[in-house]
Formats: sequence, structure tokens, C-alpha cells
Amino acid sequence: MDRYEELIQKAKQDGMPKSPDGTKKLKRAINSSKWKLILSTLTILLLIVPTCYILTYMYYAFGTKSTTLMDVASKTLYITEPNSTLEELEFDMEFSLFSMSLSFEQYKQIGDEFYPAKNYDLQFMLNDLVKNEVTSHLEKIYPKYPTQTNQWLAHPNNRVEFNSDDEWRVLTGLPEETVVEAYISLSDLHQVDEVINEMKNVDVTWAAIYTGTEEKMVSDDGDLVSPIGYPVQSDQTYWSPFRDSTSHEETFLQMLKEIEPYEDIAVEVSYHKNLELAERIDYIEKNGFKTYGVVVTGPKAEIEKLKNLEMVRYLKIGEVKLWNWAR
Amino acid sequence: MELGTLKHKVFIWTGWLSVCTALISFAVLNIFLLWGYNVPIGNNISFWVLLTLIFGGVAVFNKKSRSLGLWGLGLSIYLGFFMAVMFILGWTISPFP
Repeated sequence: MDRYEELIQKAKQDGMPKSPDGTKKLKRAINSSKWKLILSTLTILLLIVPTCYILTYMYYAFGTKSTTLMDVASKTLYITEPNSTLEELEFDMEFSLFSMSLSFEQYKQIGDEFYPAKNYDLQFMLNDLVKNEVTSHLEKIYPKYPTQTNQWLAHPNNRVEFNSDDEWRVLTGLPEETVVEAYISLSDLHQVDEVINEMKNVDVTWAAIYTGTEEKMVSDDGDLVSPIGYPVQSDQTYWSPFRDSTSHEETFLQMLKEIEPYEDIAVEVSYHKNLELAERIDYIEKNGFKTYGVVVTGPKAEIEKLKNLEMVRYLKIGEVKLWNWAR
Repeated sequence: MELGTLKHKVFIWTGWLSVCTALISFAVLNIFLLWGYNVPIGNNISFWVLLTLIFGGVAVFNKKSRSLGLWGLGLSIYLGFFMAVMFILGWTISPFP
């Protein structure tokens, strides 16, 4: 064993000299590292949620815009739900982690006034509709999936499942002091203006437009479709796409084109199984706008008089309210 | 205790305080974002951010506490960025007042 090894051996036996100051420093350093580790872990955890919120806001600002989703939802309802309108101030929009919720109230014109019809509560996970809760305030519910057999508005070549004569009888039995919403199927295809001119003492609120699929309510691909149309009355609500519209027909076509890129979302928002917008837009552009059914509202007696019109084929009574006709 | 050691200690503690106040701000923000509760101490979040900035600003002047100070300052800058993004993008994505 040489001198060096002896020295090492001796040092091992004696052990390192322990200075109280060194131990303290070591303990402090360990303590400090421990706390740094705890707090840096906590920092990372606490940054996750705010960062996700920033990403969510960025997605709805620069990706699929929140306003686009809202427009698609509201425009879809204008064209798929007969006689309905939305109020801007009734919209409620909230954002949470990677999702957006949208709730709003839908109104119906019955007589001279607008009544709450349904409350929509939609939840989008990014741009995917994951929740669609609808609370209806209506007494008569428009068919959920209007198809060939249960539709309220029928093409002249189509039949309806309900008994229209019974509906006329029910209408006759209603008190004179009521206002009625009625779904009227026409005996032929007409221009909307022709229908308005014929039905002078009532309000024509919504017109179902023929899009080449309504004889069988089936698209070229064999998919079931449902009636689509547009509100006829002028709508000065700031929110409405028909505000200041010179031609509701053109606005309707424009809306269809705007919804088309988001057809999947539109189908999920509406009660319809399919919209087949490309095919229907193409048909309207080639053949123009003709209606086969309208929704009207007015005093019971005036609705009753419509039975005498040649163009009226079937009637289905919608909502009935006490007199509010102030004209 | 020596004056130099005391000075070091003060700087280091200021650094730790800046990190802690920043984390408190973030904890309050997380609670609000996740559950929508307005925690009492969170009513004045700008106060906590200001506190973090002051502590962090002081801590960066000393070599030993600089990393802690930068940590606190970084967090408060991120919080400021978050609030700015929420405010600006909030106007863009929500068309309602």
C-alpha cells in the first residue's frame, strides 16, 4: 500500500469532518429545491386552464367563428320552422373549455302578437353540436320529422295524414273572439304574392317553397327531406336576416347558400333529417320561387273564409289565442 | 446576522413572495374559469398582479433571487396577456354587450 492509498484509507476511517454550517446549507439547499419543484409543478398545473381558454377563444375568433355558428343556427330555424322568429336580446352565448353554449328564445306570430314558442339550448364542442335541448311552450307541436305521411303542409300531388274536414269543423267551433294560426296547403303551385293578394284579411307569415323534392319528400339521392321556406311578413327586428330585405325570396336563397357549407350543423340544429341544400338551391335557381303551402294567422272568422278560396286545399290548425287583433 | 446575509435573505424572500402571489392569482383565476365562483380574494385580481410585479421587480436585482423574481414576473406577464386576449377576443367572438 503506497502513501496515497494509506491516506485515503485513513480519511475513510475518520470520516469527513462535519461542520455545522455546511449541514445547514445543505438542508437549506434541499429545502429550496423541494419547494421550487412543488411550485413549478403547481405553476404548470395552474397554467393549463387559462391556456386552454386562450386556445378556445382563438378557435372561435379565427377558426369556426362563434358568430358563424350562431348565424347558421338562427338562419336554419328561420327556414325550417314555419312561422318563427328570433329576438336578438334573447340570445345568450357562453364559452367554456373548448366549447360554446348558445341559448335563445323562438317566437311565433299568432294573431297580431308574438308569443314565445320554444327555448333552444345548444352546446357546441368546438364546431360539433353535442347538445340540442328544446323546450316547447306550444300546445300544437309541428311534426318533428315532417315526412310524406305526417306533414302539415303538403304538395298538390301529396296527401296528408290528418283529416282536413275535421280541422275546418274544429275551426268553426272556436269562439269568434279568438285568433288562429293555420297551416294551409294549396291546390297548385303559386307565386307567394298571388297567395298574399288572395288572403287579404289575414297575415301570411311563412311560405313553403317548392324545391323539386316535395312531391315525394325525397331527394335525388333517396334521402327524406322536409319543407323549407321563408317568413313572408316584413321583419324589422335588428337581428333578423330579413330586416330591410327588398326581396324575401332572394334573401331566402342567399341564406340557403350561406348555410350550405355548414349543412351538417344545420341538420343537427333543425328537426329535419336531411336538408339537401345543393340540390334545392340548384332547383330554385333554375325554376324560381313557387309555394305549395303557407302559414297564416288572423281572426278565426277570417281564417274560416279562406275555405272558399279555390287555391286552398287542406287546413291544419296550429295555435289558438284570445283576441289580440288590433286592426 | 451580517447585513449582507440579511440583504440576501430579504431578496430571496421577496422572490418567493412574488411567485406565491402570482400563483394565488392563477389559482383564483382557475377557480373562476372552472366553476364560475368569484373567490373573495379574487375580487381585486389587479392588486395581486401589482404585488407580484413589485416583488418580482425587487427580486430580479439580486443575483441569487433573480430566477425567483423572473418566475413571478413571467407569471404576471402571462396573466396580463391572458386578460388582454380575453378582452380583445371576447369582443370579437361575442356580438352581444
